[in-house]
Amino acid sequence: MIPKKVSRMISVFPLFRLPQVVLFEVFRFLEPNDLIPIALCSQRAFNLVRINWKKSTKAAIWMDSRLYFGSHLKVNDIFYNLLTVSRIEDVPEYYWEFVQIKGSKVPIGYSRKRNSFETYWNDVCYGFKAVMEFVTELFSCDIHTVMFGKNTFWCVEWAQSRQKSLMNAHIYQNQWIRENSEYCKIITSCTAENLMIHAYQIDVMLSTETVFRTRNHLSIYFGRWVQIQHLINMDCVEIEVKKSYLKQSDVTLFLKNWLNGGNSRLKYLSISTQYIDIDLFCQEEFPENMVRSDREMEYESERIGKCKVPICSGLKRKDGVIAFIFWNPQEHQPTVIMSNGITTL
Amino acid sequence: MSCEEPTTSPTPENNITVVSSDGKEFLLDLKLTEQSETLARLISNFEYDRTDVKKDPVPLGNITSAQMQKIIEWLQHHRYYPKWEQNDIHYSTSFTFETWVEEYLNIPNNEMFELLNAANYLNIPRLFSTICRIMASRITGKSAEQIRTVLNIKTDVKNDVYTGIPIQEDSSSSEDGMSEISLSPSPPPI
Repeated sequence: MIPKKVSRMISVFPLFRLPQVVLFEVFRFLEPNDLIPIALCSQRAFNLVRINWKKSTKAAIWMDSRLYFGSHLKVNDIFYNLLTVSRIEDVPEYYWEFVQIKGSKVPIGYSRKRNSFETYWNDVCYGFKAVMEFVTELFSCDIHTVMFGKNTFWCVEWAQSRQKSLMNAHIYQNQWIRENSEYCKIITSCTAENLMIHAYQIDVMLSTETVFRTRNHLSIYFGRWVQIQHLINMDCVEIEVKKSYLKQSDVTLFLKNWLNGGNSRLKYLSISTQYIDIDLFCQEEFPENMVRSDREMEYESERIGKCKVPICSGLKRKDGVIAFIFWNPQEHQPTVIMSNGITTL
Repeated sequence: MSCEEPTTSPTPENNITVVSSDGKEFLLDLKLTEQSETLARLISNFEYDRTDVKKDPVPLGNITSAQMQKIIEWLQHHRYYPKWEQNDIHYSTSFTFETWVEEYLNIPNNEMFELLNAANYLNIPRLFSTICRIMASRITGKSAEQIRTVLNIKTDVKNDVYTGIPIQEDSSSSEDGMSEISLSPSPPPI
């Protein structure tokens, strides 16, 4: 017997007729990436999500332009893929629909590959900006971090232009920067509090007169260009330089400058040099300033994480601040941590 | 008016009568009403837990007899459950539910909506939270178009063809049949 076909009407749940407290409770059970399609339903839906989502103080929006244009929300170390941006030519044949984002009507579909809803634009740069505007407005957060490639530094410039400050700008190791001017532009015009330049480069030659921006953290992965004068000119709380040609004599110069009041904001320095016997170095170069710590300590920050400071030699400045110096076994390079930056004693 | 009794037969000393919006009376064991903060507060205020106090029927103007029947079923099932605490071990943000709960809430969306409003009105946190979680589970993983269908949201995407450039905003768009959201969801007096 052939079963009788039953047509069943879909009953609706008018969610937006619920009191706000109820709506808030429903949204509380949804992940940020689940809120995106709701917000895309209509302008009113967008406003209700914006008002009622359970905002976390630790929520941070990332603008990622490395492999594709993607927006993410990071909450408590969990990344949620929000929306990605692709070219209109790439609209797949499978199911997709239209949504309106910041005044533009665009196709959208779910991308399994990117585990995210993907939008398709004639102008991907315009589209990426529109998507970032959409997510920052929806989650009421500024862009926290921009991950950029050598051809997408415009993302950093755009993020800087649209908000008061940018926390992190990051170019990864899979990028090659061949032009000196490109490298200089990143160093000098990026205003991010924390700048991580991990891109490869060979021929970069920055003038020793280069004026570095004041920032919290500067990390240079390919630091062959870094000379002692550059280091002295970097007004940062944390400096990390890897693969540099700096020598023991440069470290001596830098520390002499620090003892005389230079790099006054510095709390963490990690620079690659040839192996240095720290105790012997301090004894020979700074016998008058040398002190020794009597316990293990710890330095902790958002960019560095937790760094153990072993019992080690240090140099005491006139104002009483001590620069603890040790050979970092993990980084295989000398690390200097100032006593005013120690978080655990 | 008819009077329906829950499976356990309460005696007059340990029960109250509630009246649904369509005039049906229900005898409710005081033990069951502990799960409803609204009823528990009312019982405490009127000292209905004392045997020497005359108990007037409690009108529940926002709840139909069908909803009340459903709610009593919930209250009876959870009669011996520990008191609901938002952050205790029984609280879950997952979309996995007890078999009984799945069967209990295997109802059309419109009925679910009414039940959620009733749970909110009577302030039954376990039921309220469970329905919210169920609703969230029905939304998660859906596209905007699917959500529009389930939640009855009228799109305000313009019908003209895709241009890829910004289109003129029209501020007059709104969902049909959607009332404004109440910012102060205080229930009407019982």
